[in-house]
Amino acid sequence: MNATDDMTETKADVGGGASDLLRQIGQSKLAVFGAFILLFWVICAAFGYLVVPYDPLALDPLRSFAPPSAEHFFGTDALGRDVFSRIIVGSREIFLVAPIATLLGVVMGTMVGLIMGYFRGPIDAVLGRLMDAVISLPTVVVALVALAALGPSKITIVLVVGFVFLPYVARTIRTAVLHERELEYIEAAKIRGENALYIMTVEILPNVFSLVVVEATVRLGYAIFAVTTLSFIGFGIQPPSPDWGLAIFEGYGFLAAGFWWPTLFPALAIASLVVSVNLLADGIAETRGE
Amino acid sequence: MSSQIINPTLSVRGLEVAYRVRGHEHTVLRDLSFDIGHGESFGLVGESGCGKSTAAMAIVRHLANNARIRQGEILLDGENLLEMSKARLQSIRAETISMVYQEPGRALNPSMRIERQITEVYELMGLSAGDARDAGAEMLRRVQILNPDRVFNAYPHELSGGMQQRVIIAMALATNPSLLILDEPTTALDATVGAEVLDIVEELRRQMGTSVLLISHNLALVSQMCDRVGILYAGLLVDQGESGKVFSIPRHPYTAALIACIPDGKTAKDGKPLASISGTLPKLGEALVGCPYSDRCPLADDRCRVEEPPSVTLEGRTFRCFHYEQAPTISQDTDLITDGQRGNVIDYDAPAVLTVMKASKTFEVGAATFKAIDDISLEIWSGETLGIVGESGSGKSTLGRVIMGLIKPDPGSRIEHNPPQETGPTHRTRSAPQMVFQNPDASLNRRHRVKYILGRSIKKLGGRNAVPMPDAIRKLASDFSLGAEQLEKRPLRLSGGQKQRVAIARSFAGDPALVVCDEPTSALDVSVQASVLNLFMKLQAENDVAYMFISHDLGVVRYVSDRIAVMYLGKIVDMGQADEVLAGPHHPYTEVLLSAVPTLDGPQPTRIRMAEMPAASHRPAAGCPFQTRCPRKIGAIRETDTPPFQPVSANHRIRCHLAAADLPRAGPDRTRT
Repeated sequence: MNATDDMTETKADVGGGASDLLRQIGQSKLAVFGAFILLFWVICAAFGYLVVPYDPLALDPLRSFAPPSAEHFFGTDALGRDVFSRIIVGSREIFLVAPIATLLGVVMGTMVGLIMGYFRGPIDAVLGRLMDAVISLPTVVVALVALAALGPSKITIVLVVGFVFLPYVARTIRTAVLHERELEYIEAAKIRGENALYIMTVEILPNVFSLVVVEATVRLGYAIFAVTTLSFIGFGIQPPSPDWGLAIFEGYGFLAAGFWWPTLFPALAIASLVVSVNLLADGIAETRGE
Repeated sequence: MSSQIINPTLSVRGLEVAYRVRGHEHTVLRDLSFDIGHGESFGLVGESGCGKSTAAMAIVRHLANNARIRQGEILLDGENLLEMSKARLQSIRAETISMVYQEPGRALNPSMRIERQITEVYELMGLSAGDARDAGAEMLRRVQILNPDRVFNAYPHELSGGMQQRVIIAMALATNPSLLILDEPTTALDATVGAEVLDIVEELRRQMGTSVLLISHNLALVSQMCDRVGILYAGLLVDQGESGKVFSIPRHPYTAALIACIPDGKTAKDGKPLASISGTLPKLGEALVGCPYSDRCPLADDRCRVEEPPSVTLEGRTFRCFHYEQAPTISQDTDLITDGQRGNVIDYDAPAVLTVMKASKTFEVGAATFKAIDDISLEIWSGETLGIVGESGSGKSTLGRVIMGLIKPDPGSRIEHNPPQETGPTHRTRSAPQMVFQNPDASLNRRHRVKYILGRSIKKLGGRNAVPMPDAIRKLASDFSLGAEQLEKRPLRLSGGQKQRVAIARSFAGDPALVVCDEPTSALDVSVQASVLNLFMKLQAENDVAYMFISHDLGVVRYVSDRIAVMYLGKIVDMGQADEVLAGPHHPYTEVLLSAVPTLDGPQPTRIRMAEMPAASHRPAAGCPFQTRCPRKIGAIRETDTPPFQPVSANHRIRCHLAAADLPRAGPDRTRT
């Protein structure tokens, strides 16, 4: 190691602590911006119902399709419900379902990835083909089949989205594990008689964990998108609960009639949430410094 | 300042370079001044972090973005590089300065044939395509590539490391530069290959009158290659002068200590212990008061600690020390303290701790197979060190891993540990064999704290003893000079020597009968290497542990070994008592190896040349493995019959068809005690 290395290595050396991670993310302006939008939506989901101007469920048929005004910031929908209030409250279900689905997919994917990368050989080949098969199926088709079979419920959505994400996570983790398993600390562990489970979880996992975090944030963006898509096609959150995907579904039929606000504002809400998560994911990925 | 050189090619004057890290500027080079005359070679030597690469980068103005040249000037043929326009700098880099880096594989474009990469250099100089090709071929012949057409058609990955480095040197010299900078040019190469590459550079320097700046951590190599040397310590040039004089009469205690801590091929473990330098390098950017070496210097007095010694020039030597007169006669410290005598009495009548019988390992590469180790038989006794020497590809690491049970040998191989050991994921006994790896950065889990690393090994290897875990960890750590402060750290925050001590401590968590050491000091600086080697010797004296010590460094192997085995292409070709193997008679391959090692003192043995190492697919199918490269090949018999071991003395066997009396013997200049 020469002087130049010493001076430039600080970037790759993430101490591993949470405070370190936060400090590093703080250096990327876009990531901070993303974090603020995300935080805004989380607060809306948690406390939005306390501050909204109207009851999101209250019908007012006399005032259907009122355009955006000082009274109704984002106008009202076909049933006269306040679009603004429904958007503020409508992120609730997403924040419940998407992170749990992501967590499920990332945890299972990480396990499968560790097994594939560590054992290689026939286990890797068989699991690898299975993963390829799942990836080749369109998410929505798998979801439709599962939801039709199991009936639409939040648990089904969580299981389906988690299952569909598993192979993507597994593939990423496997590649990192293939690199790690060639390092000599693995041989050192074998020499003192460690078994495969210990080597995978205690030796390798901490070294690929930052990648797991990156993968989780990237997947969270996709999960939000998948959950709203399922709501849009009617298999997600059921009416009359306020939900962005459902709102777009209910509103887009009236676009041709010139009523754009019940569709546009929920769509913008989805976009802002997905973009904020992706900005944050980029920021976290950068701190890995590789 | 040394200013005897008239019209130097390169003149560095008072150079100061700092790096900016997190808002703070750290000075890495201070008041660096040296000259390189026309056709002269100058060596810059120092340990990691002393700033030698920074100096090279400053000269070609290729410093990292966060680096700043605070003051000084760099004159190339009288022109100041630091005040030059971009365009002029560009043309200087293209025509006047050339640089060769450590890893040849990374300096060549992997997707371009060699022909394109070489002719490009000539075409930039204005030659037509045809002329460029002829000039390129001519240049390849000058770096002793006998068949330029074959190399022209190859992609970089199809060439060996030595060939790649020759191609790079050919490209670097294509423009007939006035200055050639070599940054650790042979560190990534095997000793025999590196020696050939340096011979080529030396010859071309004489022919073309190029000035050479050689940057290296290897003192012996610099002393042999360079007319003058400078020793860098913590960014200061502490000792400078003609290389013969610097190494024979050091004018700085650091120079003296560096020389004393290199195992020189004469030091054996039952002789004088290696000197070691106490303490560590000052951290980069640390505010230094007084002499930067004062903390580690046996001569330091109060004046050294408050006042920085100025640069003094005396009789052609430039140095920074108040006590320069005492430097050559310093008595060197050693950290090797053992009770009783050094060197173990080995009981060769007792059962061996390791018996390997006819071990082979065949790897399949695509459709082809090759034997990484082939018919290896050896024994190691308690308290003994068996040194394994060989170049990359000789199978020495595979042998170590087969013995450790990490790689399954071919059927018919017998590996017997005594006491018997199980391999695989299972409970280990205290006497289970252990392994120390080359690079502690890879062999220690970078996410685990030292405390955990040691504790886990104690748990797995120490058995259930009465001592509570925290005490056991502290005891083990303190046995290896690791304090409570280090226990809480992750390996990344430790120095190189501390990391390797953690790795060694882990191996001694139980009470191993055998420790396989796979190049355990190759990634360390010489001063750290000395204390790690001393640690190995101390442990052996105390615990009667047996070592299998794998290394490419003959000096290191001589220091630690009782017996030495020389491996070539998977076979042991020469094995016996260490002094007999080194003194001869030799296997022809041992002779080549010995002739490639640069030494600090005495005349250099005549280098013996041999052909390129054949690719794995072109290894001899039958007969002597060394037949394709042997300088002493006697005829067809080598191609059909594998030579049997012939005893040349009671303790020394050689696998060669030559009669014992005809085998080469070391010349008088290489006679070892």
